[in-house]
Amino acid sequence: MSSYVTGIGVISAIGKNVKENLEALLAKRTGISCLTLFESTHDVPVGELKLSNEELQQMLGLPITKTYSRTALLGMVAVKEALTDAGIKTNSGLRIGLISSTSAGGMDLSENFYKEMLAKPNGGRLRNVISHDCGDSTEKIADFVGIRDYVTTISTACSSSANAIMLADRMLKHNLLDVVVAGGIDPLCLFTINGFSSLMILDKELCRPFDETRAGLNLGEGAGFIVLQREDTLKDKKPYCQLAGYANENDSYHQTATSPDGDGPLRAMAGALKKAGLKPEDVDYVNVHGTGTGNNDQSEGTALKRLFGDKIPHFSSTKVYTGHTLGAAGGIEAVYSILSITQDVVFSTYNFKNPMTDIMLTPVVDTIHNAGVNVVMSNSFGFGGNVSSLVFSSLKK
Amino acid sequence: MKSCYIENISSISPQNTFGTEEFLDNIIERNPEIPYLSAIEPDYKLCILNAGLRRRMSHVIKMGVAVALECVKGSTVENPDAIITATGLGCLADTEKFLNSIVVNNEQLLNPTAFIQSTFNTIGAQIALILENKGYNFTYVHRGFSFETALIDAMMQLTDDEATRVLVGAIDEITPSEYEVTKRLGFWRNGAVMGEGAQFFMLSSEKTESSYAELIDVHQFQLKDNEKADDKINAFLDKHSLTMKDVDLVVLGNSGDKRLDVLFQNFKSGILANTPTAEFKHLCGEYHTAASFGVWCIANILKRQKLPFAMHPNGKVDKLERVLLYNSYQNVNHSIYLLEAI
Amino acid sequence: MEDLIKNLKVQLIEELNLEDVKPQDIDTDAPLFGDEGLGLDSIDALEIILLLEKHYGLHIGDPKEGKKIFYSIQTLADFISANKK
Repeated sequence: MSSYVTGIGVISAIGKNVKENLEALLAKRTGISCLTLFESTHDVPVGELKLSNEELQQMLGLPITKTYSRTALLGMVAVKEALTDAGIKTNSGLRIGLISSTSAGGMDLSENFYKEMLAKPNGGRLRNVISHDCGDSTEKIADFVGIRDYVTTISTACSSSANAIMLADRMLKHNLLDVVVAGGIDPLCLFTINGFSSLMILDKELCRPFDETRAGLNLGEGAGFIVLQREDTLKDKKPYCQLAGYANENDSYHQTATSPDGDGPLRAMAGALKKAGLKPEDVDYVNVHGTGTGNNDQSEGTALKRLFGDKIPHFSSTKVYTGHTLGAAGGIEAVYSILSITQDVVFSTYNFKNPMTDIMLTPVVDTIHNAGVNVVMSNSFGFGGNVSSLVFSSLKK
Repeated sequence: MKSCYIENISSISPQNTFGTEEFLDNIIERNPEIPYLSAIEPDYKLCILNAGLRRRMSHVIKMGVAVALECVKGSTVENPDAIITATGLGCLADTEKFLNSIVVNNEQLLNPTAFIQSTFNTIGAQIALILENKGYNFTYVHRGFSFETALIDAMMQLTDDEATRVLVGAIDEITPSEYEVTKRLGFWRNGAVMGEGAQFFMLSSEKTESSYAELIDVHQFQLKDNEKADDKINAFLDKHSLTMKDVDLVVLGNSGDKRLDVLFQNFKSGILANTPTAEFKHLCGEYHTAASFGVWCIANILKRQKLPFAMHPNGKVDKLERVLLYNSYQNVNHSIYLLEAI
Repeated sequence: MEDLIKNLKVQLIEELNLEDVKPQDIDTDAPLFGDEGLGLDSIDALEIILLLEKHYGLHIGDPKEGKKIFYSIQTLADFISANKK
């Protein structure tokens, strides 16, 4: 028994809500640009949301005198949009939960605190460190929207928000909750820019997922959340689609790299289809993890070929628009996968030119309208071999 | 969500809990020169044989991995179907090391190992690498709910037959900076003492001869508006057709903080007035996932049928068949556990 | 060159935290990566790039360049000798 998607919310470099994100995707307008949020010696393009924390607070009607991590603010916007979209009132008597996820937590504030703390004894403002842990943003978001029944937070690197969605489904199935808002958030911050720079996997230009000339990823920020409900709580509401299946596996190959034969990714994708009771040929579109790194795209491409054989469905990486939003990627791309079904469209990796010579796969380059999309697979693969795949299906299936 | 069995347990804590048959026979008091309770650790070279991975591991990762491997070793399977970890603050030492290199070296000469090791799911990932475990692998990071969600997730999977063995663990470490920051935030002002540790549990859907206890249920909650903790306890018990009269012992997660412990004082004089109680946080210290140490204690209590003096028992204990644990982190994250003897 | 090789071995042990390995245990010509020799991996390659920058002021922009240079202590030493400012 699948759960149903009744609401979506997203904020990213390409827009502060679903409508703006969709417009940008259809217009093939990337949000990758220069970093302006803070100073860094690393001159790399990023998927930055062009709104300061103050502007986000104003948008949300929060007092400027209070300090919030960017993580909390991004999450509030997306969760509020998703709940409103689903028409869920938090005092409706339904048991509502928030399952969020993040890799950075409140690091956007605490990295500044740390710098000041190193400079002098008792340095740093405590208000900048108190939101460091991953659970802080979740609790602030829950307070903001009025969710009281359940909160928790997951952190499994780049698969985090896909995993949050899986936990949501489980809790609904076990009747522990009636409605769950699930997804993830990550802000741009010095810590992650420097982290990925130290791994030498940042591209100094716009990323080129699945391209032979790819040179790395662009970091991005944002939040993506979906509202899931069981069938018995839907009443008159017409859901967008179903969360048909999912799987989380461990590649168990290396701390950061995915196995060259794509073993982990393959098991995740096959597992998700199995849970959905679907076959590879049922998939109409794959929103790949497609970060643009040498390793991921080669590994994921190999896994796609092993799973789909000669009949690879349409696939694309939307990270060319948003950048790699780390903990938020699974959630943001789940929203895009759902839009693919509701708008019957396949988004493009518009800047693709050269297939990888050892794999020879070509993603969708021109947006496909009236694409006949009923089943979408969304992949998210994280450090620590954490590989996840979600499958959404239209109500027809 | 069905109950499950705790097949094996292991712990590294500020007490003598690792690689010993003892169960809190002697309390190890805090070193008066150190303002927090540090874990007593083994020689990791003897527990974590994979030198290639071990050389990169910081203190918290070694703690978690050693305890996990020990737990698996003593269980009936070589590899669990799923690995679920819980941590409040993750790998702080690695995080600080990387932050240091950003600040001190002006974003140059960055140490990639520290960054990689700082990710919250790195402990679960390294356990998977060492065991060559390719199964489900989640990490929960929500303050005083991290361990609780991990257990609930495990129980759901066991109920659904998606797994027959789930390795669940909780790990948190102290770093001197973290102590200084939390001290400035006032956490230790009123009597609570910071702690650290790692506890792992092999949960199974099947009872075996070596099983420690049955984990009946876990409930995590925040107290909103005028909700009362007593009502939550009664509702929890009622769900299982029980009342406080049916509970043989309640283990309390009072931290020693005079203000926050009023909650537990009220329990003792009210809802728990006629029920024996015991405590555990003076042994392990306060940290986000400290409840895991409480559960480790209870598993031992139920298997050995012994309540150690070290746990400050209060009240006459008639039998040890059904034990409740009530924990609270900062009186924000509350949780109730119910365990039974097999 | 001999001193350079000796120093490199000490630095490698320190930076890569190779517990229980002494400089005399490292064969100068043996492969550093893969299952033979020291069994280093891609993360170690990044650490060696950092080592070259920190101790010798040498910058490697693309990790792929490192494959040949990092083959053994000898090839590392040759690279440093040839390029050190």
